[in-house]
Amino acid sequence: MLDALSALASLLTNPTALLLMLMGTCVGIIFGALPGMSATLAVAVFLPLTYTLDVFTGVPLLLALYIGGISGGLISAILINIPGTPSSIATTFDGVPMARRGEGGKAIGIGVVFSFLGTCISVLVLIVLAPLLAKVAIHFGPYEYFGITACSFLLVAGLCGKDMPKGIISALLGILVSCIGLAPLDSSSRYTFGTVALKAGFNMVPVLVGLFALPELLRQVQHKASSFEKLHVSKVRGFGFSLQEFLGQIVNLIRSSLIGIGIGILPGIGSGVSNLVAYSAAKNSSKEPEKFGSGCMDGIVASEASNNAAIGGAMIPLLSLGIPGDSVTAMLLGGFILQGLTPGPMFFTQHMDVVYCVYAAMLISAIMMLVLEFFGIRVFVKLLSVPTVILLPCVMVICVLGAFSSTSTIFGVWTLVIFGVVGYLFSEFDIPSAPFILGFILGPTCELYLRRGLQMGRGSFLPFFSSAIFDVIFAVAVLFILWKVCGKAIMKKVKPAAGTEN
Amino acid sequence: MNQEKQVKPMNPLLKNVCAGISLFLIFLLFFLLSFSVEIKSMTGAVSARSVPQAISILGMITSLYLTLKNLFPFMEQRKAGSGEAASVPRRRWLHMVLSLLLFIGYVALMKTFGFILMSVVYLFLQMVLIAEDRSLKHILLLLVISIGIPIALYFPFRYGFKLLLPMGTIFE
Repeated sequence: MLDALSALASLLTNPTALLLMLMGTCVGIIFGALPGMSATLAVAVFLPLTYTLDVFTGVPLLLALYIGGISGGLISAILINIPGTPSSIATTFDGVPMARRGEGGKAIGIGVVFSFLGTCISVLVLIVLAPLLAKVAIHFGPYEYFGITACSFLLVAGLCGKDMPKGIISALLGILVSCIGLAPLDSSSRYTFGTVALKAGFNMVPVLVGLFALPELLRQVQHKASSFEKLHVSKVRGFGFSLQEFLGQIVNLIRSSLIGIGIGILPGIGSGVSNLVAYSAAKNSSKEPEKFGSGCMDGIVASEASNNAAIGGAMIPLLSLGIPGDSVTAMLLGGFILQGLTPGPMFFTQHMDVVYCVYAAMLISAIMMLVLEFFGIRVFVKLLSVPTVILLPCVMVICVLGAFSSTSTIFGVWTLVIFGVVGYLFSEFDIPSAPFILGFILGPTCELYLRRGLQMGRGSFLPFFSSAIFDVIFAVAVLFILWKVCGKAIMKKVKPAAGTEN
Repeated sequence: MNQEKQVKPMNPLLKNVCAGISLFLIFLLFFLLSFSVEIKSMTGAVSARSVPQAISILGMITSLYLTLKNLFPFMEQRKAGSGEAASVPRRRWLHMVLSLLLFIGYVALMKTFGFILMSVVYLFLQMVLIAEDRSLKHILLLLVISIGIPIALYFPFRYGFKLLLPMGTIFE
């Protein structure tokens, strides 16, 4: 404990590190807020710079970029209905309706505070449970990962909106699109038509930006002048919400943070999925699920708390096992290696000072993020007063820049165009986009672990059931399906019975 | 007073039927194309073809369900002569199509004419297309913004983040 406090004190008394962290958080927020730019890109840009810095300055800078980058996505998600990063997709569901009724400042305030709290909870879990969780995670093999990813598809039910078949179709299309490129394990070309660019498949960033940005532009230009008028924005006091509203979100905060941490630990899934899962869980457990999507606080809390909590979760396997959970932690691993350090089981015994420095840097960055975004709320809200006639075309150019930077090819920009048209058609036919993204992200992971599991089981599915973790996941999935199928019928029978008793 | 023209929107049930049929055809296409995937190895009964085929079949079944679920009520509605939806303001389809074509043109010509030039042209045309106020003063303001934004974006990305944005092949 004393060592941890001394690490915190030494970081707080290091002005260079503090200044770099402040800059890192600020740059991270900007990268997160720009559609197409991401925390990964921010960390990638600054990674070479850390070579000239010592470990106690360089690693905090990278962590500040990471935390700022994940949180910054909420700004564009709420204000212009385009999630800056995949982590903020679910923030658009309730953030945008809230902004449209003049509560953009409040929506950002909620996002900022709960992003901060999500990060803090995840850091606390990281400190207390890292060695323990690492022990569990090390037992995860293909069977368990397949179980988790396949089970995650069931969450489509919560993202479908009113029409379940359309949600399922959207998720299936997402999986099919993720099949384009080289197949896992044997690298067979699928749907590439001999095109080299398609062999790597579609990059996540342009797909996401395309699905959200272009349809928004096309929808706006279809409507008459009224939509180009300035939006009414009410003044924001503090973070825009009351203590009572805050207290009402405690359970949601804890649940969403735990989901974020849990998903963050699993390699290849990360914050891009955690926000959708947490949103779905919040909706399913809410007494008023119909409120979701109309601008309710619960949706923003679930999304933002979980995506930032995934940061702490992703740090657990990175520090204790040396396994990066997503692309940003892979960059961070590179940052550690640049400093001559190799995270892994021995890291906690040999470099405890660095581990404490990581904890301290994450907490300080979270506070910096809170302060910067708090003072920025008024500036961000001013964005809403820029006429859409100017704002939207400029956002499209930034999206093109983001799509190009994520792939360094024009093909990335064409991906944006293709999925922009797909997104527009989706909105025309009332097909939800969120299940598509879930399918697109989880499809390849699910297939990879299925085939690895089958390889281990020599082609048989039965060995999957030899894993206790898989069995538990399977049982939960079956119960969930039964509840979804029979739940309504049971409730209908129970309600009249209760009525007659009364 | 400037009153917007009202139109009857497409019947939601018919819209779902159209969506169901189109999606069925898309899944069918993916299913048929999956047979051209080369099988390099098999893990049990699973090969590189299996997942796309399984997903396509599931997709076809769900699309068929979506179609039939909406087709019968739609036919009943037509027989009964009900299902008329309330009028909505007419949308500007021409603006939408032009915006899409403009964006496609922007991307298509970017490699040849470069990021800055094409962004200036795109921004200006797109802003003018959707602007209601097309007075000379307003157009000049849009022109200044169209020139300023790409330049303000280009230099930090090109020299700060070392991102090689398209310079334009005609300028090489």
